[in-house]
Amino acid sequence: MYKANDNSEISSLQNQFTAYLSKSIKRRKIQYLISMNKIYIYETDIDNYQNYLSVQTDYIQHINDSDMLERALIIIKEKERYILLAHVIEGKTFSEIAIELHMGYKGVAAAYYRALKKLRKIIGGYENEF
Amino acid sequence: MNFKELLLQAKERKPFAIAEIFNMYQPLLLKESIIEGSLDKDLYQELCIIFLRCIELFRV
Repeated sequence: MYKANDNSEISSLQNQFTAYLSKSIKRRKIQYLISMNKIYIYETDIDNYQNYLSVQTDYIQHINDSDMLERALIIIKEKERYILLAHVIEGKTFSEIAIELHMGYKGVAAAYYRALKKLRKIIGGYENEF
Repeated sequence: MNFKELLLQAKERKPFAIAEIFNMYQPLLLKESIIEGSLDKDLYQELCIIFLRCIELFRV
């Protein structure tokens, strides 16, 4: 058990340390996933270089894009991912999602655009690298 | 020994204190090291390093 529940000073310190550690871990995890994503993409390109010559370019682009998108979706928060997928794939409106998640309309819209921005940042990071 | 004392000992790099706190937080580290349903050992190692740095940097 890494979180103490009583209100003593010691518990408060332990909870602060837990919060500090959790935040640090999450940040490091995101950095790690982004760096692994970069390595994965470039290694795949080199390893499959011979195969690429015989396959159509659009198809390869599609595979890489969807793969990058999948990995980017793993990185963003669960709620943002849910809102994004519900709106884009299931075609739900912001109002419907807001009722479902007990959030305001503006809250859902903000989370949706924030998720899009994050995805663009993660995916776009590789394209602008060279 | 309470958590504060344990943390102070760990900051002085006492192995038993570090091990004690590590045992407390290992489930969290393992949980965060799981990617797509499998344990990523490299990530786990990175998170362990972060854990040790957090002990050093956390102000008591």
